[in-house]
Amino acid sequence: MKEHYDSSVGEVYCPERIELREFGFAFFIGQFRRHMSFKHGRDLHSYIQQTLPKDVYYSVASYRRAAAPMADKGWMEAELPFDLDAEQVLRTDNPLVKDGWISNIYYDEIKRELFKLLDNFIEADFGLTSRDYTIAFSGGRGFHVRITDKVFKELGSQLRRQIVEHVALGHMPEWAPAKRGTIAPFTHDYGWDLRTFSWLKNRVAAQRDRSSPTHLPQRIVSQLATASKPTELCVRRTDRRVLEEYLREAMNNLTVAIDERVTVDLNRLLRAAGSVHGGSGLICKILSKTDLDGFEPLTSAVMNLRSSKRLLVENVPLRVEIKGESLGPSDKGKSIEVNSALAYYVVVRRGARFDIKAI
Amino acid sequence: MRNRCNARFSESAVRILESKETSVDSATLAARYPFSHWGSSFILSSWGGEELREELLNENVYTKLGKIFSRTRKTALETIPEVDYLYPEDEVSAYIAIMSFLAYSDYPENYKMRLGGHYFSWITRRTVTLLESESQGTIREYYQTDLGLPLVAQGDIVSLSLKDYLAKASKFVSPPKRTLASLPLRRGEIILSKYQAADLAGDLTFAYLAGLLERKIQVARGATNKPAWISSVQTYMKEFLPESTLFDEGVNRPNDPTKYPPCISLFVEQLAKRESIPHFARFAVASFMRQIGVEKDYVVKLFTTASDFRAEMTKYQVSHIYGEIGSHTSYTAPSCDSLKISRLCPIDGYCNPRLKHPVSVYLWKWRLAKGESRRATKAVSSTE
Repeated sequence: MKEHYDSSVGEVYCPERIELREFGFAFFIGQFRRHMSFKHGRDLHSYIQQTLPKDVYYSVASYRRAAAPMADKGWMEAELPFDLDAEQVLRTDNPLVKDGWISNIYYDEIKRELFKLLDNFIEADFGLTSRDYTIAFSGGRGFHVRITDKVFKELGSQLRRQIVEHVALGHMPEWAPAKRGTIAPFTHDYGWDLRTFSWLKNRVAAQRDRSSPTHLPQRIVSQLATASKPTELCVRRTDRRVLEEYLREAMNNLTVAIDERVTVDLNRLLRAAGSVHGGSGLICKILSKTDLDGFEPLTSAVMNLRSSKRLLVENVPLRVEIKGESLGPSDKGKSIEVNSALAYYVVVRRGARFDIKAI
Repeated sequence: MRNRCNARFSESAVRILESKETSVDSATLAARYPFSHWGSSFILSSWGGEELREELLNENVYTKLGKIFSRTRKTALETIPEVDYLYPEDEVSAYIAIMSFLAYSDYPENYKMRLGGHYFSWITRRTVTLLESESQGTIREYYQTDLGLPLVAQGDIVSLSLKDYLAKASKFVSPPKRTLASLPLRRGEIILSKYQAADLAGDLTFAYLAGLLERKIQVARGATNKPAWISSVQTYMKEFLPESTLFDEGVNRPNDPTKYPPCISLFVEQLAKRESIPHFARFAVASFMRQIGVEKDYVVKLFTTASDFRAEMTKYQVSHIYGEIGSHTSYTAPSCDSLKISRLCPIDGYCNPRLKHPVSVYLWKWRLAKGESRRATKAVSSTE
């Protein structure tokens, strides 16, 4: 960590009006210090170099007195954060994911969800552009998005909860009576109704290709094929139940499982971009949307270290490659010298320990 | 959005729709929307800006108040309100009388807000029905002047900036009931037909009126002398608002684990089996128990079987949830949607599609068991 921050502390991002943000630091001895503020970015950087914290966080909120105790801070506004964490986004109980062993395949899946969040919700629904949000790799198991638009920064918890529900829960169509005893699932042609309708149409098209069979009655399939917008779809009352099954499937596919607690919390501390994630040794890195496609955490977010360390490999459950060197299940029991970034990555996950004899 | 096919108009509403005046004078609009700028202009022009005087509370106004409150108490919330407005003087007087009565009466403040909520439900539903029959220009004027939200006309439809909407909604005491997910959103705009614009105006009007009442109650709190006519209105109101309706807390049932919703049953069962459950699930259990009136010690006892049980820590946290220490806020249990988002709801869909809160489900099960009426069940769900 010292080696990295000696050369790269300037990469730790300093938010606008840094004096209004609360900072928090976790240390290797287990201590956590918060309610701190800095007048200038250089003060923050020298504090990090002096104390070498395991993790660096700053608040999404701006306060009149950022260093005061919580009740006296004077909340002004807060960025609207979204946290996409592997365990939630992938909806998996895989113990490897829980322990932070995440392969590039999983990272690609999380990126797909991130694109869904950006394209379908933040841009298509909220009308925001890349100037209104920042994306960062969290340094661990996912990504953070912070919306920095003024109106969104002033939202209270209740409206933030509505945003979470919009993104993570979706909206089942409201169904309304239509002509000649039929019912229409969709009541408008935009937002969730349009998204769900498009998904249904694609699903039906896939059925025609026989790549993904459905049990939808033929009359609904024909209706969906001819309807050009959601409100044109009318079905028999008796078909409601079968269609609802597909609507639930649509919700599962179209929603993004963000962490609700992060988004609604007006005082959340989030990892500072540019700092090192103490639990992985990867850098919390600011990215643009165009960077995302080619971004691979184990290549693009590793610490700037030149040294190497000798390790006794215990159990590395999947092959991990950093800076051209790799460790995997077949290395179990071996004593191997690897670059410090790889060494940190596997040691903090208890996949190996430093070879004391070598030290 | 409520579909037009769904709407059941009363006869008088249909008459208004059929008459479909092309240009409506502002006095008529004041009668239809007494809380609006048309209502304010009417007061200025007819009373010269003076306060409501007792002689303006004529028989028509009292009849109006009686109708509103008897509807509030009975079935007003379940049907489209009859669109029967009287003369502008009476409508505007009735509105001011009700708001002042709610602000200055001797009722407890939480009851004033609750009663206000019933009145606002009634008047906003009427507003929606009436706005649906107005021209697009009138709807736009209402949005612009009364709600502070400019609508942009695009042929038959109108659009509203999502940012303007959110900025407005965040200033209300509680945001509009219509959720963001249900809105017709397109690239930062809410695209609305005339009927949808009327429907959304109803939600916004409710939130606006609730905020207005809260401010009025605050002002009335510090007032040394209340208007003289308040007592005569209060006497009159007693006929329509029996004291027994004032303090119905809703949740007052013995603790019966067989009636817990599936989520709470599962958490309690997991705790009993010494399984580890997430922090949010523990919070849900404790706050649910608080809301259904379970003793704190019983809740602490539930956690004693947890694998990581620490007596002092558990007592501290449960006391916090019960509002006995810390910020002294009594926490409410998370809603079904919050539990779903956190992947803690064990079922697909909802226990009852009308109910979105574990406590509502608990009360519903109680009512089912006791064979109480469907209406009573609905009423409880709406109080949660």
